[in-house]
Amino acid sequence: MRIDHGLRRLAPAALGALAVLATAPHASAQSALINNQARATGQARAAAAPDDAGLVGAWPKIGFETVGAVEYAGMSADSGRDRPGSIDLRFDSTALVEFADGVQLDALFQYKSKQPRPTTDANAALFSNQGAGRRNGGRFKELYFRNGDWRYGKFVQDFGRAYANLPGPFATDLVEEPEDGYEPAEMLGVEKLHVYDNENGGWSQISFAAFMIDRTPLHETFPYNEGRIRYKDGGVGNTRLPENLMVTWDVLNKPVGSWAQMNYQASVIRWGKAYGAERGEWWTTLGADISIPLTGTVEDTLRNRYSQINLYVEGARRDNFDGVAGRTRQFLSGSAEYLNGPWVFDLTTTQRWTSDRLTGKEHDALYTASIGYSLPSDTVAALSVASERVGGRDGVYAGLRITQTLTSCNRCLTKGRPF
Amino acid sequence: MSYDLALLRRVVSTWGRVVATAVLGVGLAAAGHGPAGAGPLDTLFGSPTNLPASAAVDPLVNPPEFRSENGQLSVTLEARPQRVKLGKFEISAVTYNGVYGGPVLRVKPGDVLRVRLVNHLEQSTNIHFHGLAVTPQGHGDNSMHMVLPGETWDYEVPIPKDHPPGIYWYHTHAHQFAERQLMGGLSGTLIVEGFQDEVPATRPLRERLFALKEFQPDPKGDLARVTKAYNVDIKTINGQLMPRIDIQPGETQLWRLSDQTANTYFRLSLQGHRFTVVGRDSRPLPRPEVVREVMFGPSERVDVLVTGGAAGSYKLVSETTSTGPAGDVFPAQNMALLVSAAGAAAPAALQPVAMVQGAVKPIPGDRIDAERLVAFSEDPVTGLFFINHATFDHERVDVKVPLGSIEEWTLRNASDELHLFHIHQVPFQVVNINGKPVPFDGLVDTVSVPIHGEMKIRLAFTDPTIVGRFMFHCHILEHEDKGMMAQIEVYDPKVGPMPDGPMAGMDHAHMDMPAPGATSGSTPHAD
Repeated sequence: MRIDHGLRRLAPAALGALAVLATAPHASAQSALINNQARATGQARAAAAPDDAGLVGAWPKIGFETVGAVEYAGMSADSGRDRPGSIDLRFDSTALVEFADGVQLDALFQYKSKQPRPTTDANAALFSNQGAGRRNGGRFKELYFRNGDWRYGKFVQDFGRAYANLPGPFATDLVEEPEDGYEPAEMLGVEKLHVYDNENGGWSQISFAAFMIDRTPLHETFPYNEGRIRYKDGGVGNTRLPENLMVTWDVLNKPVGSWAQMNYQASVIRWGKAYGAERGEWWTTLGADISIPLTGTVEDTLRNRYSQINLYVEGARRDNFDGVAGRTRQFLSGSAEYLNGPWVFDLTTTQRWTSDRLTGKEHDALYTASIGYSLPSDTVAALSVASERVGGRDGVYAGLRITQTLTSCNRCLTKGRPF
Repeated sequence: MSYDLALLRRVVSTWGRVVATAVLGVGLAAAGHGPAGAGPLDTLFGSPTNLPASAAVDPLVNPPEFRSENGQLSVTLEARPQRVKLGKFEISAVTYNGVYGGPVLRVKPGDVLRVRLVNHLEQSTNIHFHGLAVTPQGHGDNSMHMVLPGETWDYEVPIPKDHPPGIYWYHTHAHQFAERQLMGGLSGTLIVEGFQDEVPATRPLRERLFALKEFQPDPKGDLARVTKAYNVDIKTINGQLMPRIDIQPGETQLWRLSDQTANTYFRLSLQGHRFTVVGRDSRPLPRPEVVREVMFGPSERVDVLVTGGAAGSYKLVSETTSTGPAGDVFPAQNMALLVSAAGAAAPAALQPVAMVQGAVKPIPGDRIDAERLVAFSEDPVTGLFFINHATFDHERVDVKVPLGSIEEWTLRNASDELHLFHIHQVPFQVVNINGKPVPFDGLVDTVSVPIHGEMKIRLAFTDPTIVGRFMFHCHILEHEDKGMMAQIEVYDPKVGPMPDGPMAGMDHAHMDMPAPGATSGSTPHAD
């Protein structure tokens, strides 16, 4: 079965369900009752249609936000070709349509202006995510429908957090993307989240997901179109059916002592056997971070003098890496971040070990240091240096990145006037 | 390892200029975070709301006032869109009775407050009487009830005879619309008289009201689609931009500040002056505090004494404030100009400032009936804000408390920005912050919870007047509208709580009664 055929069959049913949910009596029902009672007492004269009583014009709501980054960076390699300074653009645009409480459509469109590196470049793997090396362009990284605790569609699975949490522009180079790192991106599937009632020990949740690689037109990119993925292309997660299964347990903001909070996560993915692979992979991860306020009274915060230290560590392991039995890839990432008002200083490292029965062990490593400053206009300027060793090649990167958040619409009402 | 250092130097040299530019910008921005006045970055970009001292021409005046007579105050408030002039700006606001600063309601303990709300908007709206310990049921301070477009609703709020006097306020509490409606202007000051009797030194002083509001217009003067402080942000006092405040050298005035903004914190300073804080959230402080800056957040009220300095002009400045790494930065703005000049009669000397004994008492902690957790958290992906991992639901009662209980609640901030806890109908006492005991400093109805921190508060659910369902929430209204609100029911233990589900049962008794005979026509009094 091809997934795009399946989606076509599902589409009318999904749209129907969406329409039903959008018009379902929910929170407005209670207001309608009160208002009807009020009218019965002659208290008020009737006005709006009863079906949206109480929340006239409240739904749907839309949101649109773009995080754009301009980066000027260059790399000096210890041997082979350098990369002279160049300007790259990246933006992540999110769109959100809320039909009712807990019923929404989310999209994330990501664009990276990376140019392909020549395959003859021995340093092509150095800083592969931040510099050139991969065709990327723009694509829908996420497009999913959320109904309460369920998500359906294309989204990045909740496995590990290094690709999102490591501070600094270059720090995620070795962990991003599913091929070489451990970011389960480009996956289509379904997820069920369960949040535990008791929050005394922090927000505790467990999620279950089943998914497979995106073989739909959503994977196509602009302007460097790689085309759609086919089953016979192989690759992690490229199974016939959504038979890749994940369980993730998160604890968020667990109080530690009298004034600190930590998060931790444990997760496992059982990947199905992809076309041409010997085995399916197993991914496991365990990570935690702690935020320790240093000067954090309300008065300090209002004076823009809030300061804190955040310490973060995460380990991950891929068994049967690349579908090869006995081959493993392990990751260990850590960071220390000091935030003081608008200033942020951070040090990070990611270590990666790849073991193979035939080729032995390979060690890659990345170290970064960054300094950043936040402007009131949601602008962040960050200066970073990084040293990376990949496949026996070494390089030093330096770069300046300006990141701007542009919010075009923040849960905007779509009906009527602003008031 | 050996690197091509020449190439690295070329790279560094090229973007050295870029870095220098960035550093310059950063330096200017950093200067903008300094004290004493609007930051250079604000003026560098020509913030049009930050007016110079020379613009302070019009004197500060109190908005029109409605006073109770013969034990009652009956007033009609018509909520409608309105074009409003704020200095050189013309904005599309939404007002009660055309008054952007908000009509002032002045009552006495024991009065009955009757408000007829007429909704001329295209959205639902309602009114919450913030801080009053009155009935939340039926036609009382019932924030659950939404008044539909074109409808009217009569509020009837008996003020108990022993109700604490002070500065309160009333405002729209229409969930999903509250932030924008309040930012549009739907609020006003509510005074329960008698504060000056509790702090006798303030009796002879001139009382000035400061209703602080904000509006973020788009180029056409409509409320911006995205209400963020980095847009044009017009902060006003009583609907006036950069007014003049007159005082005599040595004269002391009682300034009654209320933050009637949706999201904005204030850090007010007055050049060459100190403030003496004598009250917070309607209640006198047991010990007055002398401060250089007065800090307060959305919905909080502060009573301060200001004594005029030597003849001259002094800027009242709202300094830059931040609500944390994931929060907002509110730019500095010159708010008003204090002009100190000798008058015809010499001002009376200020008597020693002290609260009448017993005006505010701590809540006894020898018997705590229950302890609860209120955790504020948020999800940047969905843009939702939570209390105890849930968004607001009209049909769900999150906490049920038997009347007569004294409880301690732990407020936890599980996020990277400030949250501002507020509970309707019930004042409370802050017991500790991050485990450190806080000496009794009066009762409040709103408090900011530090980032990644916890605080313990004590609440007495002992007043039979408050039986019914009402809310507690974050009073940063962006957060409230996005879900950070929960419902509590205080019930008579002899009767038991109401059935779960819609609140209709609570309203029955009142709905069966004839609607209160609200009449309009109370005459506004000039200040």
